[in-house]
Amino acid sequence: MLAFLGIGLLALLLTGIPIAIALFLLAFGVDQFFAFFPLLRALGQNLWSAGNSFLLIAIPLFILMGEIIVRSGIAERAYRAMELWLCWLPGGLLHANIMTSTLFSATSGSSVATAATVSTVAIPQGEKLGYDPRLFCGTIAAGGTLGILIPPSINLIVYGFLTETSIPRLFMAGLIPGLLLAMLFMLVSMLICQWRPSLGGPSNRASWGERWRHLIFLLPLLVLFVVIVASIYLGWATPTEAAAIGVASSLVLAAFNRRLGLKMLLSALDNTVRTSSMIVFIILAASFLNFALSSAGLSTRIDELLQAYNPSPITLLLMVLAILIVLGFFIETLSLMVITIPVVAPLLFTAGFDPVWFGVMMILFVELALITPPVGLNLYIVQSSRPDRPFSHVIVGALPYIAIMLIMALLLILFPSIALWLPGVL
Amino acid sequence: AVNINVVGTWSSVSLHKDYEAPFWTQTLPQASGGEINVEMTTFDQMGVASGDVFRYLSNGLFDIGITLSDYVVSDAPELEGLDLPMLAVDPALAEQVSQAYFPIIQRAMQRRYNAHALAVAPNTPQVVFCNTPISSMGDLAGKTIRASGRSTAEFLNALGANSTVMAFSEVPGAMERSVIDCAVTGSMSAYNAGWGDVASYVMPLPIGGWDPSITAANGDFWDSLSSDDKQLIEQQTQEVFAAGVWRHIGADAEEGIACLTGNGECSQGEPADLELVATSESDLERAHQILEETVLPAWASRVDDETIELWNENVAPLVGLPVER
Amino acid sequence: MTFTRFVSTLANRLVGLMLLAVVAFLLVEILIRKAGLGTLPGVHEYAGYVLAILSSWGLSQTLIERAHIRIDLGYSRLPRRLQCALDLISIAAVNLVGWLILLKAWPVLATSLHNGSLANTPLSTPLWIPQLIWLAGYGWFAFTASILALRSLAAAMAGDSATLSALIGMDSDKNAEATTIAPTSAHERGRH
Ligand code: NA
Ligand code: NA
Repeated sequence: MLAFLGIGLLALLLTGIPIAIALFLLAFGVDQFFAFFPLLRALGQNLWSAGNSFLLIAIPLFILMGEIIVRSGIAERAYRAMELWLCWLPGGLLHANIMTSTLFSATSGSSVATAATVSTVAIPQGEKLGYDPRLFCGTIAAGGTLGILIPPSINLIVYGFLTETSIPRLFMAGLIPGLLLAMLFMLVSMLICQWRPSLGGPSNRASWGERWRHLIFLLPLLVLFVVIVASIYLGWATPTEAAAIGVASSLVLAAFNRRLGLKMLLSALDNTVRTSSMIVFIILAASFLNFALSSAGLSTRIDELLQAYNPSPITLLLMVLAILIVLGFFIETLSLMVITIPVVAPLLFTAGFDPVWFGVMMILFVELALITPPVGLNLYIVQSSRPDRPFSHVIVGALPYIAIMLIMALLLILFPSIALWLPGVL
Repeated sequence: AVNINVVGTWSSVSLHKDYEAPFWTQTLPQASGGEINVEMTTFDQMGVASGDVFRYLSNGLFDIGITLSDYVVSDAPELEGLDLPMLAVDPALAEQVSQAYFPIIQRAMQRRYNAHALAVAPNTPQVVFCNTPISSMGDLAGKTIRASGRSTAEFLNALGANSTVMAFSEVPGAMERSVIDCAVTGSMSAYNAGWGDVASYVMPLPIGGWDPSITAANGDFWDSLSSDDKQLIEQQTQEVFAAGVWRHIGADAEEGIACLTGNGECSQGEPADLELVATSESDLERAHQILEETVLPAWASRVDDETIELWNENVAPLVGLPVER
Repeated sequence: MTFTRFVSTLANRLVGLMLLAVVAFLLVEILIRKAGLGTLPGVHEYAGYVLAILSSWGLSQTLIERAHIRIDLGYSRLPRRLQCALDLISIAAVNLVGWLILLKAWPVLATSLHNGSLANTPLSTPLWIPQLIWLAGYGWFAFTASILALRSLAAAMAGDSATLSALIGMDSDKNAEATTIAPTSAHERGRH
């Protein structure tokens, strides 16, 4: 059955069939060849029961919030403020890129949205000031990935939904690794610019007056983050309800910026429905495949396999991570998660790994997939803001940050409490 | 030989591990002298929603399905009366009620799912957990409480509490941060899900009932069996499986409380130290009154006359709650 | 095509307004609860139905806008003819899945109607109402997929690969954008 899955998936992906459709077809195949029960009869009921979900409504709501923020011009001003505060460091704007991404991540549920927003505001600046395009693009592509690790995170919601793990705990678990990763990104950028100053841009000092005046532009994003996270952790709201609070707050912020209008709101809604129905369709397909696999006894097969080879938990983990890296070269975020979770999550949980901890680990490798070629969405997003320049710049620029992510993975394995400490104390 | 596909309840709960699984995979095949072979899984392992089990059973997805009656009252409101909040406070009475109720179950399973009911066995009493101090049932008034089903919600609302709906996995976090004050669930499932760390009080009254499971066979499958097989399966499920669960339910409920409070034997692991809220005579009277005035009439309005006749004839004398029409 | 596009866009808009209503009701619910005034019954329940409706009714516009994620493992390097063949295979697969879902989702509604099923909540909503709306969304998706397939097939017969690509092709820019999760298209971003 595992062989069938692997070959079937590869064949379907090669034809370029939409990913949700491919997952459904795989499930039909499992039904045809491996099931004791006529599983297809359960398709409709499965779709209704998984789709009629209060938990999943958080996805369109967080997407809507992101749409509104992006359209309200908050990000550009935040970037300008970051620039004034950070440009004296070796590497200058590189740090503004990373910090703006980090701050934006704290209000956005998606990595690609984060990268898209930051590259729009940052790339013209970098070109004007003569930064090395490789490193400059690398910081945006890598910084953008933080969007799904620092809460809120659509991918963590999907993980929580598919593995029945508590979403507030997952959110808290992602926060410290996300901030740590951001600091490591800044550190490595600084070291590279110390070693080769020509890679950074001119380091200029802003006046304190100017800095303080612009500080206020960081406020909207901070307020949004605090409102969302505080409403969850002070017990006002569940994560889903917090998403509604986030939407309302972003509308207020957009109104402050005088960008709120009927046309803007309707086009934000249209995009939201289109994107989220596509995402929910993939999740439903994954959940039906999950049903087909477990009904066909996948866990029994895996148990047999494990008993035959009997790998130690750490060997098992490394195998799974290796698979995630390899698949991550070719497959983007959500697909990578929904394809692998039904198979690897039960395996690792049985071997004794904490579901919350593995959630963070999984997200880290999804982030990695975002900046590894040939298929790395964040690389494409950054590239799309600088047409007619070589794509190789972006790929090479991301390499140091890929190394940092792997180091981060190692840290998480050695010190699981980086992820588990915060959900434990809150 | 007959091959039977059986789908049981939650793979992690005692009802499945200690009773369903040994019964279907060992006891019954042995009793049949090798005539009956069973393939068993559970609805959570299969990845289906607990409330969909009998829909799948009627589709012929498998031959025998077991799920908790509270999950399927959307389709079959008749089954709701089996497990009304505080209907039977002690296990002996709960068992008598379940037997007296069987004609209603059989009729509902037949009509709703073209299925043949085999047995009723309790899960665990559904009790109340709070992280704010309570000293009696009356203190639940004004609290926000996660209820597992409609009639429990009606009961809580009549008490003056605010019932709300929430996924089981979100409860510990929500209670920890006081999004909700209290929640209703089975004592042992609460212990196993770590509620001991987030709640501070437990009130051992079956506010959510006994969470009984119903075992039923797909109608076409049932008709295809020989009368000897039918007789064997019916006799074994009722006298061995269900009777066995009922025999232990009192002790299991006590152990659940022991694991949550630390008073008594807990074989499951380190006990939590929740405070046990004592129940008073006036609590019980109040509960009876709410049942009589609010919950029972609301239920009766959702079912047909024949169900009410069966209730008045078989169940009402046991619990002193006739339905007037 | 204008008719299917019009209905799909309208559906998309209505679902969007439902989402706004969910936001509003959730805020009221949170305020009432924090003020100790009880709860607003049914908000969570109805939000669940809105998601179910979004999950089916949102699909047709997504299909028309070619926004479903397709993984490009070699597609873009293939000659035009082969790309068109793969597009036709894809739309055929979409049709297969779409119609199968409709066929298998129908019994969900039928069972609820037969049993007069009511939601297991204090509101006791008759389940056939949200399920009917939900099912109709899948019906529209299957219908839209068939129309697209027929039009693409006609384009293929006529040797008009440009029309075919415009209908069902994999546009890598668009494709990357569809996965942005908050996809503000490039020209819109440029406006700020
Ligand atoms: Na985020
Ligand atoms: Na990649």
